[in-house]
Amino acid sequence: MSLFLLATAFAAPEMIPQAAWDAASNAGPPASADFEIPLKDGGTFKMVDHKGKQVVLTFWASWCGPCRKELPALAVWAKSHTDVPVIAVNVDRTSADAASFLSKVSFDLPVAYDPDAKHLGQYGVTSMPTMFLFDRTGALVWRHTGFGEEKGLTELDAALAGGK
Amino acid sequence: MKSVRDVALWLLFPLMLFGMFVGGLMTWHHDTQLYGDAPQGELIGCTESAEVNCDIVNTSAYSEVLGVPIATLAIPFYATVLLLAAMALRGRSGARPLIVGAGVLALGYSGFLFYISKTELGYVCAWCIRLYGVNAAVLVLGLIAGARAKPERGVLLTAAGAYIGLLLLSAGGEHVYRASLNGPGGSTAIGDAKAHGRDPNGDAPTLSFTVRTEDSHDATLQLDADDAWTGNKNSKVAVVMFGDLECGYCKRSSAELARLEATYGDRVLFVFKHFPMNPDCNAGVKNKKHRSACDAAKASVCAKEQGFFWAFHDLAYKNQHQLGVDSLRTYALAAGADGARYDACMSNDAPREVVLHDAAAGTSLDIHGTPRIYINGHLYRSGTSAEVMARAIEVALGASEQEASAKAAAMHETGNAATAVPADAPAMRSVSADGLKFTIDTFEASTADGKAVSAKHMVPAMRSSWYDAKSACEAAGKRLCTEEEWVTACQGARAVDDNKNGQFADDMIEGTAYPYGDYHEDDRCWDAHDDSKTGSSPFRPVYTGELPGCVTAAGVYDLTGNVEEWAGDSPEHAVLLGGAFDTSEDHARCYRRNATFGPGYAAPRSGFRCCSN
Repeated sequence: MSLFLLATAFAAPEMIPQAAWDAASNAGPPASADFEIPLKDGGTFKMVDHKGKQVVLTFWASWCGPCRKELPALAVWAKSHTDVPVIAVNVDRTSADAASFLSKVSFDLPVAYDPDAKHLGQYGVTSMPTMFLFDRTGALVWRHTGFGEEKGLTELDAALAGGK
Repeated sequence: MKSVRDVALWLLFPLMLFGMFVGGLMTWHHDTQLYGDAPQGELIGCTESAEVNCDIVNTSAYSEVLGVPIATLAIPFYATVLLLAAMALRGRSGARPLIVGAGVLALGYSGFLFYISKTELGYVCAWCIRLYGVNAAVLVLGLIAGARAKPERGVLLTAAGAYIGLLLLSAGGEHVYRASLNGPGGSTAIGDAKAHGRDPNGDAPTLSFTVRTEDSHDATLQLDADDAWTGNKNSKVAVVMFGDLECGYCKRSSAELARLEATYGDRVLFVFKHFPMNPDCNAGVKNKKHRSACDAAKASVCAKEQGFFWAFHDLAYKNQHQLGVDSLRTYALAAGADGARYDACMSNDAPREVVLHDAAAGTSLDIHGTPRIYINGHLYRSGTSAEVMARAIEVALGASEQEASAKAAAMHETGNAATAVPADAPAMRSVSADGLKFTIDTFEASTADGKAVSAKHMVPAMRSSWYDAKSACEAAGKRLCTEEEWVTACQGARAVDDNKNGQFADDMIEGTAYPYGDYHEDDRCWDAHDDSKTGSSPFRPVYTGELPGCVTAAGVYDLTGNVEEWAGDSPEHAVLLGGAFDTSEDHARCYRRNATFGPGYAAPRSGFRCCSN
C-alpha cells in the first residue's frame, strides 16, 4: 500500500509553485484609479471630478442573477446617500442585453458599458457583481463580490462609515 | 442490569459488524465489476429500478478515493467505532463522545454521497442507503451512550492509530485482491475505433438467445430483421446492446463496443436495440429521465432507413450534449442522409413504432435501465470494459479460458499507450485539415519579457486578457490562433461553422471531443480538479507539458484543461477555449467555449497559445 501511494505521488503532474498561482489569483486593481469611462447617456464619468467624495463603482451583467437584485437596491440606497456618486459598469458583450434589462427596472444612476471588458480586466474582476469603494482621496479602500438579499448593502454602509 | 447507555454501546457491535460486512460486499462488487474477468451481475440486495442501480453508483468515478474504493474505507471506520464501543464498555468513558464525533462525520459524508448519487449519477445504491442508516445509528447510539463525557487524548490517539493501521490493512488487502483477479484491468482506455460509414447491406439475422433476465426469469432475446446491425451477420456470436442515445453510460459503453468492433468486426455480429428512458416511446419506463431520447431514437431509425444508422449513432453519442430536433437533423445529414427523406420519415409514426417494439423487447427481458449488453444472451451491465467483453467473445468463438484471458489482456495493453513528452519537442506543430494549414504552439504559452514562449516545463501564462495574449504572440513573431484553428487542432478535424454564426465551438463536433479521443479519461489532461467547495482548493495549474496523455495526434499538448486559452482574430471574436484545471470533465472539451466576458477579461486561469501561418 505504501509503495502504491508512493508511486502515485511520484506519478502526479507537478503543479506550478503556490506563489505563482497566488500572484495570478490575487493580482489586485490599481490602488488609486484615474478612472474614466463614457456613460451610456452621454458624458464621461471621471474619478478626478469627484475628488473629496467617496465613490462607489460596481460591475454588473444582465445575465447575473445577484446583479439584477443589487441594482434596484443600489438605486434605493443612493437616494439616501446623495453625497456618494455611484457608477454602474455593465460588462455584457452585447450592450442591448443591458439596455433591455434597464428598461424593466427602476435604476436612474449613471451606467457605462464595457463590452470589451477593458475596465473589468483593469480591476481584476472575475465574478459578478463586484463593487468597489474609493475614499475621498480617490484611493481604493473596499472591494466586495456578490449580493445577498439578507445583507443587502449593509456591508457597503459599514465600509462607508469606516472610510475617510 | 445494564444501563441504557451500555445497551446502546452493545447495540453498536452487531451494527458495526454489519457495516463491515457491507463494506466488504461492496468492495468485492466494485473490484469484480471493474477489474474482474467475469462481472457478477446484479448485486444481491440491490434490485435495479429507475432510481436504484448499485452497478452505476459502485463503479462510478466517485466510487474511489485515491484509488481505494469508498466501500473499502468503510471497513476500518466501522472497526474503529467497534473498538471505541469496546473501550467505553471497559470503563474508558472518553471513548463515548468520540463515537458521537464519528457518527457526525459519517452522517455528513453520507449526505454528501447521497447528494452526488442523486445529482451526478442519477441513481442511488440500496446498500449505500443501508450504510447511511448505520451511520445515523452510530450518531444516535453514541448520543445515548453519553456524549457529555470528556474526550480522552489517549483514547483519541488509540482510535486514530487503529484507524490508520486498519485503513492501510484494508486498502492493501483490497489491492492484493484486485491484483489477484483475472481481469486485464479496469481501464476504459479508448482504442482506435473506426468511424462508421454506410450501414452494411441486408437485414439483421433473426437469431435468438435464451436469457436469464435481471429478475431471474427465463426469456428469449430475439433479433429482428429491422434491427440495426454491423459486423459479421453470419456469426453465431452476437453482441446486442439495449441503449438510449441520451444516456451517458450508454455513450461510454458504445465506446467500448466500438473497440470490440474494431477487433472483432469480421467475426462477430453487433446489434443495437432501442431502450430510451422516456415513457413517450417506451412503455416499460415511468420517468421521463431523458427528454430527447425519443426524438434521438426516432432520428436514428430514420437515418437507418437510408443506411446511415451507425454513422448517426456515432454522431449522436459524440454530440450528446446537443440532441434537440434541429441538431439531430444536422447529424443525420452529416451522416449521409437525404434531408427530404429524413423529414418525411420523422413526420410519420413508423419510427416511433420501431422504437416501441425494441423497448417492449427490453421490457420482456426485465430491463430497468441502460445500457444492457448481451453477448450470446449473457448480460453485461454499465461499466463493463471492452477487455472483459473481449474475453467472453473469445470464449464464445472457441478459445480456451487461458487463451481468452491472454488475448483480452493484449487488447488492454494496446489501448493504453501514452509516451513521455519528448524533451526536445518542437515549439510548434503543423496542422493540416481539409485545406486548412497552420502551425500551433506545442505547449500553452508562457511569457518572457512580454514574448510568448512555447516550451515544456514552464509556468503557463495566467491572468492574460485577449489583448495581452495578442501582444505576446505578436512580440514572438506569431499571432493568436483563430477559433477555427484552435478547435481544428484540438479535435483533429477541420472545424465547421455549421450554423454560420462565426463560432466554431458551439455546434457539431467534427473530430474528437477531447484532444485524445471522444471520451473523457481521468488523468489524461489536467482537468476536473474542482475543489472550490472546500474553500481552500489544493489544486492549481501544472507546468506545461506535464501530462503525456493530454496530446493530439499531431503532438499538441494541454489543449483542454490546465488554463483556458484565448483565441480569436479580433476583439469581437475573442473567446476562451478548452476549459481549465477546475473545469468539469463534461466541459473541459475541445468545444468548451467561454465568451462570457469581452477581450479585456483576465482571470487567474486565463492563458493562451499562439499560431502562425
